[in-house]
Amino acid sequence: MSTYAARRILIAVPVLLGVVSLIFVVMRIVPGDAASLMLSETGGTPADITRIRTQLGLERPLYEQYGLWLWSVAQGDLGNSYWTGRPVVAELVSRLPVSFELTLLAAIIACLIGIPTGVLSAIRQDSFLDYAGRLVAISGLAVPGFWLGTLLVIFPALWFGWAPPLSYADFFADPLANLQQFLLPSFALGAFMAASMTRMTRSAVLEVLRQDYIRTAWAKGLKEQAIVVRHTLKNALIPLVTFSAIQIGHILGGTVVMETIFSLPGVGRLTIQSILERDFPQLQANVIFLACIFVTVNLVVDLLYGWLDPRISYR
Amino acid sequence: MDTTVTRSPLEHHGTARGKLLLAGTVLATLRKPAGGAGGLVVVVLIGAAILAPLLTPYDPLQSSVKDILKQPSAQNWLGTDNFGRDVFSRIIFGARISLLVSLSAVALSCVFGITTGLASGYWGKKVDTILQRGMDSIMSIPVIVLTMTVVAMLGTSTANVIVAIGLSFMPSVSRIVRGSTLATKENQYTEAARAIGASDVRIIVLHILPNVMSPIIVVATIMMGQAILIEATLSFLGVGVQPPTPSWGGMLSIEGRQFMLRAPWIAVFPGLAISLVIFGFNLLGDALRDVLDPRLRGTGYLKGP
Repeated sequence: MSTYAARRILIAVPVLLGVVSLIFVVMRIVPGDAASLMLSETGGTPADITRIRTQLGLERPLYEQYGLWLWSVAQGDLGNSYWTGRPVVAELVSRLPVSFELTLLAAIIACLIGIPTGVLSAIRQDSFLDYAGRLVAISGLAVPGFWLGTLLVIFPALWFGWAPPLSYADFFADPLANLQQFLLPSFALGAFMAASMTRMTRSAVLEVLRQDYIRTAWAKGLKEQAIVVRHTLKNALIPLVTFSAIQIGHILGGTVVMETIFSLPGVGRLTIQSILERDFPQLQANVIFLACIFVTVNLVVDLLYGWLDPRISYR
Repeated sequence: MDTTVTRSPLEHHGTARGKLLLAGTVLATLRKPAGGAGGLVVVVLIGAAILAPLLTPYDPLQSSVKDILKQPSAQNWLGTDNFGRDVFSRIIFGARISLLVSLSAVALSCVFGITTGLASGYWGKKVDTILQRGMDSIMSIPVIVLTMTVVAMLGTSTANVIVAIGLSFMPSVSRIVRGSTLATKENQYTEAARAIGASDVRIIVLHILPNVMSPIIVVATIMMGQAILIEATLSFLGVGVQPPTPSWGGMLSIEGRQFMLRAPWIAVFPGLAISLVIFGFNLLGDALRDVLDPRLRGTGYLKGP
């Protein structure tokens, strides 16, 4: 078990290194360069361009830039924002609670909707309930998140004259307003994940129900509820845990869209703003952060999986 | 050691038997209700994209001040938008962008994904480690963020959107191909080919590649829908296809929000189009997998006992 854990952690390091290097490359593929790109929008003299290029260190050879980049990332110093002048990491951290709450609520909603629907679908396989559940799941996979979010803003306003509170309300300061604000975007964000969770849960539960030990449980005379809850669920949930880790990537990307639609001051909205404003240090920091979250979550889930599934411990 | 000698239906490509197997696969897929429905949606999409000028009563770019925000009627089947442009025409022409971008992006990701996957699976060790860690790095960045960043760096044009989406799909293709390659590599006929002195490239192209194509076809179909979704999201956020080119995502963008409150049809129909198309591709992909999977069991794609 410890070799498994050590191996998994060891793999995460080159992946993170790869991410940082990838961002280095992507930020420098601008035709022309970052400085002229920034000034092409606001206008500037060639002297301005040279000044910014020196500031960014773009005059130095590429390998030197790469070395400096790795060194500053390791120290956690990712520079200052071009627009606010504040350290980008500080800006990022200040936006974390919003995105965290959005992601957490979306995941909870997805589990609350997805898992019971999947289980029901599986234990009543090929019934009307099953087909209805599968149809809803496939539809949920096809509906674009940004469309659902937009509709959830428009139609409550059109039909009920209701709109979520405009300015951000901290959860600990005003829980009711906060939840009002976060309910619709979390639902829109969680809908896709709920749909894929339904499908995953359904096939996982079906797989477990075919096992011999379930047949034994039936033969012993256990009631259906006991079989499902005590024997089936625990085993079916294991692959679901790994599956959720991959979904985190979708959810993190989805925060960009939802925070834009619902005007929430989170990391996702900061990312799109930094793109539109050409604030490269901020963009770099955000992308690295999001990638780190993804790698960490996957690592934690892999380790958790190794602990949950006794079959893995013996490797 | 895998002792199955059965080969993938696609290994017979070019022969009469191969053509028969291909026709059989297509018919079997379409005969399933899901496959038939999905296939119908795809055909309608392609038809709309190709025949767009013939199908639309109005020019999608032509604005008309007197026709702003009209309700769906006999003249404008899906109403008009805030510039007086016919929504139906814009949706039909939007199909062109969606199809072009998704087809190109998926093709691009397949080309590079298959190449890296084959190399990774066949030669293994260092090549495998470097390539797959690289793929892991790309996969660690959420797709929307990665594509947004690439497009922002390269410039907002349709070609750059294609490159960005292709890049983000490449790792998934690579992984699948790598898995298939690892499984097929151990087959007896691969060993036999090696024994009679066939070169690595020959083995890869003639024996391994056809076995890899079946899962790729399934994945590529579903990726078509995903690519359309990403293109729409990028256009929605303003970093994709630029207005006034009609794009389904662009028709839903934030700038038009105030008009959507007065004219909800401009929000409903583009989203409906996106959903239907993705739905169709998903159904088609699922049906294809059901058809190709049982046959794959004997070819070493799923590692046998």
